[in-house]
Amino acid sequence: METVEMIAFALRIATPFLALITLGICFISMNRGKRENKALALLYDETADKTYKVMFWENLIGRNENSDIVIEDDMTVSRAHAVLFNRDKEWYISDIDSKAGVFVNGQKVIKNCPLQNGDKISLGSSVLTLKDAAKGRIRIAPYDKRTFSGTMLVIMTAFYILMLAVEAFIYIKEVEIFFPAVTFIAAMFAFYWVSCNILKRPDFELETIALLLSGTGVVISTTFVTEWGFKQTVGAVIGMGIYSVIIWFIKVPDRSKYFRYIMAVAAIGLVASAMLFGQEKNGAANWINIGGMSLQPAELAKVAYIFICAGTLDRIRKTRYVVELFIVTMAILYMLYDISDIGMALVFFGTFLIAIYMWSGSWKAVTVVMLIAVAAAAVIVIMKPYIAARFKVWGNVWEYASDEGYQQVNALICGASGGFFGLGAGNGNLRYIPISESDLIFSTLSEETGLFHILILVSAIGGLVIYARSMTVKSRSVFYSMAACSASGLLVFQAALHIFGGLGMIPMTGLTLPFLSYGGTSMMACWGLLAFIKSADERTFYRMKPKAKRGEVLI
Amino acid sequence: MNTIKKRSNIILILTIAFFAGLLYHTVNIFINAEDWVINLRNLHLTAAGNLDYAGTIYDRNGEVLAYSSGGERFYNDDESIRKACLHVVGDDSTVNLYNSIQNIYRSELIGYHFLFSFGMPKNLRKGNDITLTIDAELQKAAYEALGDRKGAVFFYNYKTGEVVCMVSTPAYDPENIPENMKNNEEYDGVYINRVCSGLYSPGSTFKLVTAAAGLENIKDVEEVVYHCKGEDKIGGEDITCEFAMGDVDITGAIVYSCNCYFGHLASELGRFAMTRQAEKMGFNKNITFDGFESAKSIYDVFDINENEFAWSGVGQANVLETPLNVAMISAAIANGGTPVMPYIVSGIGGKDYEPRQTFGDNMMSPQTADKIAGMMDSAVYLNYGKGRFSDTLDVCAKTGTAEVADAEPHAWITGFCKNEECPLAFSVVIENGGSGYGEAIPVAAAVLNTAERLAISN
Repeated sequence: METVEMIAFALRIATPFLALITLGICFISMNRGKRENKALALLYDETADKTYKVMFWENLIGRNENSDIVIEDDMTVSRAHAVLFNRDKEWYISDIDSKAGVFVNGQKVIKNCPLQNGDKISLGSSVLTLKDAAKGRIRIAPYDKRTFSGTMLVIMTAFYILMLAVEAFIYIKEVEIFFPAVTFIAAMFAFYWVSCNILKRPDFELETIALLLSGTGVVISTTFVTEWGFKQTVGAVIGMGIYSVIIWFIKVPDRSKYFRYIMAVAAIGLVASAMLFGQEKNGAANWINIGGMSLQPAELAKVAYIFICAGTLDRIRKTRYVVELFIVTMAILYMLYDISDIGMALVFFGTFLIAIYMWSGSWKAVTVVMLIAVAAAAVIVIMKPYIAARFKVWGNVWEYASDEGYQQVNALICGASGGFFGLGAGNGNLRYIPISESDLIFSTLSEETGLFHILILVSAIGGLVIYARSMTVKSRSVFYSMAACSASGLLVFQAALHIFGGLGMIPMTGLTLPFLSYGGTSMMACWGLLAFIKSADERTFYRMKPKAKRGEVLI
Repeated sequence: MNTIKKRSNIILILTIAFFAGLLYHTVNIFINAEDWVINLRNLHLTAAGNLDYAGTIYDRNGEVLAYSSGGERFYNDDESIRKACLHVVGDDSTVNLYNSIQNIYRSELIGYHFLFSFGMPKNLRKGNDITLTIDAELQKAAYEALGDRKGAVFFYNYKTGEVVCMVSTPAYDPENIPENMKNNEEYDGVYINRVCSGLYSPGSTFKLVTAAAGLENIKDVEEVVYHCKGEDKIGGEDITCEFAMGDVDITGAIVYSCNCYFGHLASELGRFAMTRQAEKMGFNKNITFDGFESAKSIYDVFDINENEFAWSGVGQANVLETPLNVAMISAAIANGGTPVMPYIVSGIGGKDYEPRQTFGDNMMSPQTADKIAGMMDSAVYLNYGKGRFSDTLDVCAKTGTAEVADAEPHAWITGFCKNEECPLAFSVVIENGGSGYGEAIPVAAAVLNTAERLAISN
């Protein structure tokens, strides 16, 4: 008995370090493999004898100092004049309602105009000549220089999940513990194989991060009920499918533009289906049953919503799109309020704020929206008393330890009881509090796997934002940058609401922790959101060609 | 693209806030984890078997009260001491003994450390030892004096605050737990530490409060002489004494315990003055020492009629008091009006605490305290009989016989030793035990005699 206890203890200390190393390698590797900061093309202004470097795949040209190519001292150039961009290895220019118009070799540009090296582009009185446009090879750091190969990362992740499963087995003592974990590991290797050989993705770091988190979610769900582990695995596998489909779908940025309206309808429709056919579970009527499967359509609506949030560069400044986004958001928020899914409403609202700011760049707009929200919150608190109760508890959880603050107090006590290295997966007490498998999974993991471990895992979610930001200027279009920022912002915002709500630092809203909480739909949605982050990385769409020179990829 | 990069700062801010929140929680765990885990809701803390590798509990003389060996918890060798110390030491197999060292100091006993918390394998844990101020022999004497009667005995040093004896009965043997405790009259309320949580009608011991209120609020109260005919009418209804006492002043009323006098005095003072004095003396608030939480003594007279209010002045009607509170009032009287707070833990983990001597809220002026002390001295001298206590201790006391509906009255005594060599304040209550004069005095005397023999204050 003592030997087993010592083995479990050693495992509890070793597992988080393996997670730390694996996740660390992924982030370092993602950072190392980026394209060097070299000009993709040059624009030569003969009259001023000045060369502009084209650094991005999509460039705003104008007088405004925030433009990517700033043409100073020419008052005939509009503040935002034109967009120079690359699609399918071709360069194009497009006029964005400039006063003076855009001319290529004397021809007025009406729609996207393809460009060749040497073409003369007239913007007002400035004439720019396109030179050295990159069509050939762009250097990208090869795999082996990126510390570890994808195979190694997947093996490490598999090992990590197995270690966690062994730890759970020690406490649960049922061999069934291993079945969902092994199924998940098999699915993981299959996904890796498909990713490398069929989808020809050049890297697997982001997927590894998501797989490691999902694997933890699968094992911890299994410790609650074995069947849940399988459900979670199925959710993850469907999620990987959604992930691959979305990446394929938005490969052509212009395609997704036209789908904005369809996605708006989809987002509203999904939430509406919850409102019309939803069944109540734990205070919010956000579940629908389809053929014996319970789904949370609002979770999937998040993925569709990201499409709407992501504009394109030529449209970014137009108020019409902000108004459209506003209307869609209000419709979704109203319906979520109607089914009392306040947590989800908050997530949409947070994402909306991020999108509003990224579209307008105005803190004023953000403040106005926030003020409206505070007023709305006041109305909600009056109309729905159980939400007011959460506010009452906020900051005083210990005073309400037996009623409204019951979950938070237990989360704090159990979390602290786990210390930094935990009590062992399956060996906690918080799991006996209702719906802790989804709403209190942070503290459950904190208790059972240790604070150190869970901090590493949630830091990886925070790390996604850092990664998404570093991709914003490297992506092939503003569409991807916006989508990645919105999606990663959404994930972190939701994680924050889950974690700090569960700890009583903010009112509790009953949200899932991305990838880790039990919930198939939530898992699918997280993978769906991850697709936007992956797409922002220009490397994603490079085909691996075996004949290309080692370390170099063709665009 | 540059614009987007700049504007993506909004999610960077969000993420910084996210990490700041995580950091805050981590720091919070560093600082507060120990407070959080000792919460009795924590099943990790209270799980049976958690004390299997815990530290030892000693009494003031180094007598072992509880210890762990080979993955099992053991208690003192003497069965009477085990039972007498049950409510102080606790029982590792249950969480029901709420006010006990093994519950309150469980995290110290098992050697809790926030880094590994309860995740540390048991054989790597190192528990802390705890030394208490109680005396096992004295506990045993009190337990045996109570016999099979239910009740509570509390003795503490009114100068330093050391609790030397805290016994609650009924008790059971933690090494040999009786099986049929539920629904068994004999073990009714066995998990309650009656010293802290027992709320009893205080009967005549409450006259100390009324007397203090009178002395503090009415200038010439000592001049007033009342002619007791054994009964009187207040608010149109009867108030009665044991016998007709004739002319009594306030001292006489304490010595012979005249209900009519104190009923009138309370009426005279009024509900506000009485409530103010009672609350000064510990009513309607919680008393906590070393994690032992007492129930609130209750004095709430605003909803009762005039006659009932008069009765409340002699500790009847709806007045309820804990033995701890009663003893602290005596301690205040002995100590010039301000009680010293009791404490029971004198050392943890090999480190001995300095004598703490913290004072509670002032209960009365030093003059009032002196006068009441004199009255309690007279009560022993003139009424109870000096010979019933040890000569050298100079005991001052007040008994009480608290009438309860359809049962024998509760027998009470509270008081203190004037002797500086043995500065103990005490309270004894015997549930439905009969008269304070007849039943409570022998218990107090037995404990005091043992204390003197053991020279406990040294």
